[in-house]
Amino acid sequence: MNTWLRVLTLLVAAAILQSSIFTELRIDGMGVELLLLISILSGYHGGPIRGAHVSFWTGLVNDCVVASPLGIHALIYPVIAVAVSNLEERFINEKRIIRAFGVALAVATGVLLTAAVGHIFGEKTFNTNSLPETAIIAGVMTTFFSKPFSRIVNWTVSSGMPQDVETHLAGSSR
Amino acid sequence: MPNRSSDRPRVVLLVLMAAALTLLTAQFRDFLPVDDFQQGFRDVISPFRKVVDKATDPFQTVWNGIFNYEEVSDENERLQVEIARMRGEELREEADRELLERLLGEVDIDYLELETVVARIIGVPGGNYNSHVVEINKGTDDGLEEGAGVITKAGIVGYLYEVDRSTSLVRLATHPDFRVGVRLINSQDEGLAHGNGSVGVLILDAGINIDAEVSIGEVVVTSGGRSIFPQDIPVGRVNDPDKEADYGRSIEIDLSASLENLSFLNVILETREKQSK
Repeated sequence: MNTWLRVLTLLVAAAILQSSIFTELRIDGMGVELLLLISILSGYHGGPIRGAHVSFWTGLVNDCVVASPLGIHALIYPVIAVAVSNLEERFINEKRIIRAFGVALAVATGVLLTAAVGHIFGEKTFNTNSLPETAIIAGVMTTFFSKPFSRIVNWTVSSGMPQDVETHLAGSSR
Repeated sequence: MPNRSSDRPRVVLLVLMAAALTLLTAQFRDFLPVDDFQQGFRDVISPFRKVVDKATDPFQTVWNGIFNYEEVSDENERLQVEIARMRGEELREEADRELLERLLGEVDIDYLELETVVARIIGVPGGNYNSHVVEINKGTDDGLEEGAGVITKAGIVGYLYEVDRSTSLVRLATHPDFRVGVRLINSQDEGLAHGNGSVGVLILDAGINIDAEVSIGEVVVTSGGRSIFPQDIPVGRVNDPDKEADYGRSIEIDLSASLENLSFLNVILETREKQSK
């Protein structure tokens, strides 16, 4: 299947999930940021350029789903994806817990940046009293769903990319 | 690994950010196709949402049972108390209504009957972007329009700020962007109240004289006029009259409608034009 067809399918499916089951999965009113997670994972698996493109469209889809001004999330998500992509090489060999912490941190940063940009554009949509709490809980909750979605996003954005070649020489210690 | 040059990602990122800013500008300048695109997208995925919601209902119930057990238990207790109280009030209300109709008939005033649509709350928008917003199960197909006032029997709730074909988003009265003209029942002073992001509270800080006599517990109703709400809809009671303010009084009002425990709402169908006729 064509990569962009895969991306379209993923984004529509994610939009449906974000606006249905994930609206109910809340702790103390704070929920999962599924589309932000897809942006982060697309940066992680797809590299900075493909990650930025996928994240831009993911942001637009999120703007439609949550009825925010079109472009607010699309402004932030590519930045997060490129940042994650640049940090990916440092984290790829780290323990799973460190990578999970990285995802949680990226989600929390995304939530805070979206709130800040929204505020700049006069959108008083975030409850500023509980914003740090929202960012942390959203980060932790979203990280719980990162494993299954990581495989899906990897399959979606990595098609057509050169694969890593492992060479095993006879007698090699690897 | 993908082949990455150091400059190209920056250029791509800048182009995408410029595109996002262009879209934002188009949105804020009320460039209609942008709004229509968003509404169209939500309308297209709406049937699929309903199917997924239905299919995952047991899972959602389990989640709520685990993480919101205390809330559900408290809600149950509160509803039982409420039922007992309402049974007692039912008889008294019936007597009051008869008396009111007789009095209104004597002074020749039509009893204000609002044309409303009853809507059920189906949840909140996904993610964390929208606070003080709920989603209802009625939309343009049911005659709803953007900006319509939303009430319950207890008082004002908010207004519609996004209306799709079968669903709408209600911005609650506690949202910082919510404004409503209000009147204090005892002093008959009128002013403008707004939400401040706090649960169950409105702030009245415009239009009230610094030396106005305002007491704790005083009833506040809508003032009508050009507002989206007709006059005399209950708003709440004064909680803090801010009597010691040197200048710029900030009166705190406790909302009469409990916005945290809503299930059904009434959307007012009458527009401002109709009311003014």
